[in-house]
Amino acid sequence: MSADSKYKYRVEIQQMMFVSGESVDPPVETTSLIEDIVRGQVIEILLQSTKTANARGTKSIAPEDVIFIIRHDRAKVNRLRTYLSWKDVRKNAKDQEAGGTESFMENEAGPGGVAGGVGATGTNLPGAAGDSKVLSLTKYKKSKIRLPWELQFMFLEQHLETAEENEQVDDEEKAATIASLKRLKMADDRTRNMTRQEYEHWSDCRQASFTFRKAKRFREWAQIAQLCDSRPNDDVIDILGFLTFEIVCFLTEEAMEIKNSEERIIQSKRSAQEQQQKETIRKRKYLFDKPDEFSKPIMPHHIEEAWRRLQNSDFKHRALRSFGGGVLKTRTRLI
Amino acid sequence: MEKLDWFERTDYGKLLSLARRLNDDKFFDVFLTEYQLAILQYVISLDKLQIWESFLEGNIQLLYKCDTETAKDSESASADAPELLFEEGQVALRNLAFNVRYLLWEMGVDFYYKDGMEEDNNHDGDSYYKLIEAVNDEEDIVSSAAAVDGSSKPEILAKLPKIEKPILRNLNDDYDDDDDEEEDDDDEARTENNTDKMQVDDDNSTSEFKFLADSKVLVLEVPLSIFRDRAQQAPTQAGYTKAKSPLLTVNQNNGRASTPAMNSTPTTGGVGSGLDDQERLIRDSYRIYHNFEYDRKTLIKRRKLELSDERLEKNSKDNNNNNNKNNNNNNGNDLKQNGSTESLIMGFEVGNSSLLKHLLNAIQSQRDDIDLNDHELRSLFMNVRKNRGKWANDERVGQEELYEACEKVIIELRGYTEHSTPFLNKVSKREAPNYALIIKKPMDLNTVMKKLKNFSYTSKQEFVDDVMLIWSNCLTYNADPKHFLRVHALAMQKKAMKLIPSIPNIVVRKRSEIEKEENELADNENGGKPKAAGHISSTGKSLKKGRKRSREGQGQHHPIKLEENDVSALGSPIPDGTAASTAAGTPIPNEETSAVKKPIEDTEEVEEDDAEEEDDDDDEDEDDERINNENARDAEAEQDDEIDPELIAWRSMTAKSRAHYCAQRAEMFGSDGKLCATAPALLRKSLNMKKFIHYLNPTQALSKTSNLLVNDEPYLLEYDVSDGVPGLEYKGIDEHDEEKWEQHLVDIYLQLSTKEDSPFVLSQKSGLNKLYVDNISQIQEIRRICFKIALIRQMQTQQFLHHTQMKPPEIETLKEVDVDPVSKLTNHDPYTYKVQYGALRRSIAKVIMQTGFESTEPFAINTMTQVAEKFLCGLIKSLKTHTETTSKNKLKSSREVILLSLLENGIFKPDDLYTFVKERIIKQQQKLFDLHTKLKNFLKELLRPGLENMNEKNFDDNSDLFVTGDFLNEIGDDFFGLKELGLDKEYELMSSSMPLYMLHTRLHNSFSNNNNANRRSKYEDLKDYEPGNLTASSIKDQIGILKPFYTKLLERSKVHFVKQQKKKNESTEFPPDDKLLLIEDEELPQKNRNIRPRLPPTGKISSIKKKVVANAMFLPEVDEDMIIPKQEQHDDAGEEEDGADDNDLASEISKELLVM
Repeated sequence: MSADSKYKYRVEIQQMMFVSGESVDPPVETTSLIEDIVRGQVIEILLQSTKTANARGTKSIAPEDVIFIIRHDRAKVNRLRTYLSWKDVRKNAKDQEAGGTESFMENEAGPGGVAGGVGATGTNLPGAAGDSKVLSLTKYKKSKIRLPWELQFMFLEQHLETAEENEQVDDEEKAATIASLKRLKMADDRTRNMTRQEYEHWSDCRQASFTFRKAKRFREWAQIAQLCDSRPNDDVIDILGFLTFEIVCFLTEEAMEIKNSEERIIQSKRSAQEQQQKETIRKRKYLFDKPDEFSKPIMPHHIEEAWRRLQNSDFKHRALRSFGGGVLKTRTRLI
Repeated sequence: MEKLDWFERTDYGKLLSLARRLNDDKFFDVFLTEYQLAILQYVISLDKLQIWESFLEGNIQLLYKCDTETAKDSESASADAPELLFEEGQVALRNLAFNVRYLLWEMGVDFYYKDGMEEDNNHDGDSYYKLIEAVNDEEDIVSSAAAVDGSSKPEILAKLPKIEKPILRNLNDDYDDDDDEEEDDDDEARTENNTDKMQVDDDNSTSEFKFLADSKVLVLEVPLSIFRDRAQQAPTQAGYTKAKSPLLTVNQNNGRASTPAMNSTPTTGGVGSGLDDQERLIRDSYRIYHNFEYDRKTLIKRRKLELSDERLEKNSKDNNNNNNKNNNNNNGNDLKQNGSTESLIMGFEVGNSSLLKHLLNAIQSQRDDIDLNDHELRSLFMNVRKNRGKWANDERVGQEELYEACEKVIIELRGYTEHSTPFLNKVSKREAPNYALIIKKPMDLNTVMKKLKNFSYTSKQEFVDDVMLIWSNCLTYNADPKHFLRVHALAMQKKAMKLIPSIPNIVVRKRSEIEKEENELADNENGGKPKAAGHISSTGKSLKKGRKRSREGQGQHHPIKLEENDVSALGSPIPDGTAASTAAGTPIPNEETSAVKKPIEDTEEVEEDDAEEEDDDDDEDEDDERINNENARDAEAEQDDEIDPELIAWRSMTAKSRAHYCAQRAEMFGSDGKLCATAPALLRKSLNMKKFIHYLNPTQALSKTSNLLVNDEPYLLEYDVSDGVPGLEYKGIDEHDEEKWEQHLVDIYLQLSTKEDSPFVLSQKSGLNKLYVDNISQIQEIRRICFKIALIRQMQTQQFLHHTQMKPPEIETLKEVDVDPVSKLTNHDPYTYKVQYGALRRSIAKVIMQTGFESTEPFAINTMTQVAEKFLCGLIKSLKTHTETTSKNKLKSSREVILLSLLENGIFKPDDLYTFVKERIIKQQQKLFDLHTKLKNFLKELLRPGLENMNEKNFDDNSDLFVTGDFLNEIGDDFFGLKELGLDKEYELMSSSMPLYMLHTRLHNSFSNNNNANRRSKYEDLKDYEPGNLTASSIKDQIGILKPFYTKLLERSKVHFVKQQKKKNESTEFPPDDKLLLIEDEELPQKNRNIRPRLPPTGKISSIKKKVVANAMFLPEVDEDMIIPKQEQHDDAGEEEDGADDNDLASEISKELLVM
């Protein structure tokens, strides 16, 4: 009951975890913990971006403020940029030909869709279909998202951009492409042995989002009204949706790694004993036996450990204090 | 040298014999305190090798054994003496053993180095040498003894406890004969007994030596009597006879100790040898390690002394005055009259002595200039001085000698600041409220001094009594044996005992009396004769008279021996037959022929009184102790040190000069303990420098010079900061030198600057610096373009541009400037913080500029630099920590160390650094280049709008079209004749419209004006040129096309000239051609001038408002650079007609067009 009132994203989180490789249904405790963490991260993002917005002299958070916080993770920034530019495309398309490609665009809208949209080579079903459509869409001018700390904004005047320039793929975009290709490869590996139904389920899960079509719920959940002076615009909410998806995936991957290594340790301990036992007790298999290797879901302590690891402060942030002594105060690190 | 082998081997037997001989030579007397000496002598006298050995090894414990006889006699006093300076137990004795060892080994060292030393004056070395020779000769004797003892030794060690028999000896007067101990011992039953039992091992009851059961430590039981004997003998020490010491060269005028010393002899012999000892001690003092910790105390004590001196001086003056008054009152008292006359004389003498002081100072300061040697000077000086002795008085015979000696003694005592401070002044009631109750006759050094100055002493004895009274008072009052003042009192007593023999035994008498007596003597034909000089030295006659006189003065005095005064003061009379049993105050039968009877003051009585009141004192003593707890602790500390006689001697000898040096140095510091800048410097004195040289060349005795002047102080090398410094030929720096050196440095600098690069200038040709500089200049270039773009945008939007807006931002190109240009000079250290900080700041500034900042606040860049500094320091520190660690896990290779340090400072791997350069600098360079070209193209487009996005709409709004002539395309005519003039080629026009940039003439004009202004400011030399006026004769020199113009002008000017002349009523004749000036337009009257075309005031032509659309064709693109000079050409053309208002744009344009 209390879970109902507090934790609202159990399903979404489960889906996201499934996308990032967790095959079993995680217990409620795990999802609740992840939800708490995600909410903490969202709040931290909001606070920090409010600060940068205030530094700029405005009260409302602009998308740049949010991106500024994660600017060091260039791959992520670039994927975000791609995502936003596609979102732009979608808007334009909507304006021009009402509803024609809308159904497709909705597919693309989810955070997972970004990766899929650029070039889902490995997937055979909707990815291939998406590919052709994407190509057809490029003729709607895909406006590039320019970030204010790019080199050209160092100067007072900017040149007018020509169409060809827009088309040019710069290095950062290349980096983003590489990163997304990596992710696609991973997704490909995961989905290789799936049946059609499974794959459908999987691709449904890819579209899970904290924000998509539930912006209101998200605002309430993250207490945006209390944290921000003015309502952040939709772009910000979308970015947050993207980021929350990333956070959950990241946490899950880290937790899985932890879980795997833990299991490896336990097995290596056990194996010696079990080998003796197994030789003596070799049972036949029966239909209603328990499955042999019962894979266990990610437990809260895995998440906790993952969180701890991700929060470790590295040397870079401590370097200036190395011989000064005193307590190093750090903020929550954004995943 | 092989003779010294046994020092190495620690041959105890030989050492013992050496020690015995040394003891016979009174060698130890100088170095050890009385009690130590007593014990040592006791040990030597035992003559047991084993005891000696364990004594030297420090394995011996001291236990006092009270003689029963003495205990009976005076129980109260017996405990005092030894316990004060020497405690029972092992520690003190061990210290003594170390001392003795040191002294013995020192013999060896002296001997060893004797060859290197000067042989003329070092009699000691001689004697040591002989001594050791003797010991070696004695070898056979000793070795036999050693063999005996050596054989018994293992036996002794084998069975414990082995009981050894001591030879207990009560020291009597023939104690010194160590070798015939057996005979001497006979007269004491107990000793005899012991000698008998020497071979008996198991007799516990009478044993005085025993090993402690567990610790192999011998217990040495020492009868207290030896101390008493020592004490008794102390005064006679000076005259101690050594029958078997042919080696000692010091005077030995005395007979055997059994005969009491004569009073006169110590003055010549004993004191002389004492002084010698002292001198030797001082000379040896360089072997002592002394630290400065006592200097403060010494200084404080000195100051007290000086204070009391002052007070004394004042008092004596007052007294003088009083006396004078008394004199005026015609006091009948003979003695007082005498005193008053004396005081007059003394006043005179004081004046003299102050004069003398000045003389002394003068001599001292000019010592180098006087070619007399020290000895001559001294004798001269003494002559002068003697004649003017301040104590001299013809009326009172013997006074001068006595008083001079007394004064010396008293000054010496006062100067013994180690201990004398408590006795300087009267004990005040505040210090000790009940003092008056206990001490009936208080006495102190100042009072003695005062009495001396008032001539109230008539004999040596009176003086001595007073002095001794001081100590005995103190000892009486502070009865507690552990009281710290007792230490001082005893030390002072000892000192006094040493000094007193130097006072001649003179009784002062009136001349008239002497004369009378002389007459009597002449009558009696007695043997003794008074000296011709009239003063009495030491004859029996005078002494008799002395006694007589003293009896007249103070009837109650008991005549006793001076030497026994000490004994009685100590209160431990010895019940020996020969020992003076004067404690009871009975006169000694005058057996000895030359023994001198001396009146003594009533010290004994006081003593007895004190003994009764002792119990009462205890309480007060405790109070005192509590109050003076701190003092006491100090005193105890001192007491510990006092075991070393060399140190004591050194301290007392040098106290004054140390205090002097310290005071001098203290002046250098202000009250806050910091160095005072205004304090006078320590100056080098020629005399002290001389002393320093003396000190370095120890051929001459140290104290030689110090004898010259009475109040001279021993020279202390280690305290003398300034005088030891060798002289410098330093004249200081005058301007000429300074300039020369500066010039020299400049020369060097100029040479260097051409040769090599400064380490603070980074090469711009390679490396990261090149990349940075490239990037920065690229950024600056882009900024310039941006400015142009912004200007055009502004022109499109704004009606009017202020000329300041047209000024391009001044961007300085990056130059590598030497941070510290003088660092190449050899006298300059480039590794100072300031220079290095500057260099780092430069680099940081570059990084910041490369990141995109045009400029920074100094505060910001400083902060950044400090952060960078901190980071680098952290990096270096971690490198250092890893390389210098003592940990077992220390990193092996320097590579690992570097990697780890980088990691700890935030650089995950070295690749990160590479990536940084690659990503942030090289890539940025590429990006900047792209951006630059893009912006350049953009600017070109702005300047020459292309054909695209031009359409009909552009014509709608403005009449500019007429100006630009865009419509002309439609007419299809070469309306402006551009083609005809061939300008289309020049401006690369395909159409007949006016190019936009022509409309920017105004803009360019102002630009070029600005530029010209800039240029002018740069080339100021050219600015002054003014064309001279043309004369009629110079017309023919002009170019042909202008000649008609000038001839016309000439005519006009002629007309003008005539007019002018007429106005002035002067001759209208023209001057010669070369004088006739052509007038210029400005000089003409208004109407005659050339009229310039003007627009009507209302005809305002609006400035370029919109991007003008020209339907012009452009030739293929050419670099902007090629266009610009042409524009300038064009500008020049426009400039000729410059001077009109900005508003006359239209006219200008029309004219331009005409020109074209």
